[in-house]
Amino acid sequence: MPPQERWEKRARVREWAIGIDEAGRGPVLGPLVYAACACPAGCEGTRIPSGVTDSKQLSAAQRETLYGQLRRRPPDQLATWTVVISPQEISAKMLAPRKINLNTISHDAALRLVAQAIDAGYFITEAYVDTVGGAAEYERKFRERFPSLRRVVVQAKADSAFALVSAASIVAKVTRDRQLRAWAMPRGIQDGDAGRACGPAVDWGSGYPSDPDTQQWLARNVHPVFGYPPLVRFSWSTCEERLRRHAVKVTWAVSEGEQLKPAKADSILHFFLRKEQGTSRKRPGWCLRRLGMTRE
Amino acid sequence: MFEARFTEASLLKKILDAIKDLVQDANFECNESGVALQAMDNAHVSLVSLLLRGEGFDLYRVDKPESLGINLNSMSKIMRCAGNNDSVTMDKVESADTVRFLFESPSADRMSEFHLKLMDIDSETLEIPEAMYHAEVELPSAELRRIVADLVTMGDSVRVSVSKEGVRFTVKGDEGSGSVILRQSTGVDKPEDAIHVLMNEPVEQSFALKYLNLFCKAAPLSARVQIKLSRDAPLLVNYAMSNVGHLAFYLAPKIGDEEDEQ
Repeated sequence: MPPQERWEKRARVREWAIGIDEAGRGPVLGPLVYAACACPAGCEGTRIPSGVTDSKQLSAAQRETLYGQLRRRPPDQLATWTVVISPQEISAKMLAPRKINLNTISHDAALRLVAQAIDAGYFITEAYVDTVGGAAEYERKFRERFPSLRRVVVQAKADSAFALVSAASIVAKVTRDRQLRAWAMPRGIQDGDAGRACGPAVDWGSGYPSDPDTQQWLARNVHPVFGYPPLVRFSWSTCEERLRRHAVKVTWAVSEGEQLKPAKADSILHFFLRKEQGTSRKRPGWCLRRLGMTRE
Repeated sequence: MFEARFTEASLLKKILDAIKDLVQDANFECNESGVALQAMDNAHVSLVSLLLRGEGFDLYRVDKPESLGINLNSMSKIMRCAGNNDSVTMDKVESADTVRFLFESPSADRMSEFHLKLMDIDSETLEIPEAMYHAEVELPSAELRRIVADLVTMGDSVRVSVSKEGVRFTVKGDEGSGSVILRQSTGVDKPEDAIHVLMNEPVEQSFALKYLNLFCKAAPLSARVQIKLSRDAPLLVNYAMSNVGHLAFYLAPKIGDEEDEQ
């Protein structure tokens, strides 16, 4: 039996635990990265490299080393997945007419990670997740979507309590840092400071709105018409304020007195899901779409 | 065999009058617990959900669950043949493709019977989750009918907002605008006129008055009506028929209006 098939078979019969964490929820720049790390349940001690702990307590170099170790483990011992949500996607979802908040975006990403693991053939029975928003609702989403989960732990500070979540936090953090470092400005966009081209090592600071470097970068790079490069999350209030102050005021072709759109009642089917005839089984993800619950 | 008997044919008549302008064809799902109907209007903006509990009938018998596909307009025509005080019996034998309506006068000296052809209706059943609503208002059904009838002359959509001060219905039209506000009142003299406003969170949503106006045709069914609202969820207008069941309408909010406000 080829090794690939062998581990796939083993992965199916063993019960696996998965840990999920994110990096980059707060910053106004760059992607939000969700990462998962899975290993056979109960084997966290032997499968996870020593030194793995909450990514915030490690230096960038330590994180890189551990990241390398984590990624080198054979897939029948330890596996990792990542979901990268671009700043454009975040802006688009949060500013859409039917807004999707960051918590829902985060929950969807975490659920997608578990789905990826299951699709890859892993039999996942335990999940450990750092909480975002209400822990109870978050946990319910996991249980509804994945009935095979025997144990779901959603709690604050899970990244320091569970080794798998710590490992996931390292993968997420390193992935985000690398993406930010490699971020290529679209052609023609230059750092506003004296027309200097925006190279890979830019001085936007930590990306958090509270960082003065980030604020200065944002101040330099606001374009009166186009706003910001796609690296920036337009939906952050700090951007909204800057755009209001520095960008030109747009007068839309439709005058204010007119209605922008013909007032149209929305369909009831946006809210209720069709029930399959003859079956009363509740599908995961059924329910009011816009009460913040996941869709299939 | 399906057999159901109501002392008041007029109640069934009122139900039909309330929904026949919204829905053309619908399936009456009959099982041991009662008769249920769920249907959307053609534009899929609203949903009607009717429940008549078995114990609400004078006689109720279902041997095997049945789905009766009925053209509501035709049924309404038949129901109009019933006298005001008549009782009505609906029955259908298993193999039959018609349902029989039998009207009897109270003194039992006049009987009439009509057969209505059944139809095969492809209908989708929707899952209606038990949602927690942000605000609930209970008021006399005549009051709601009056508000909607007044506002529908002014514009297409009504903005319903529930806040601490009460519930406000606002309409903006080409000629002008108007609003009606109802405050919580216990109705000391007449409890049936009381207005209860229960607010967990303030809500504000717009709805098409055209549909609300159609819903209000159910006012004769019940002296009281409940309105339930949630942000980002359909409006529920519920007419409870004591001991019999309920007639509930769901209406999708207007999305375009919300954007305009911001």
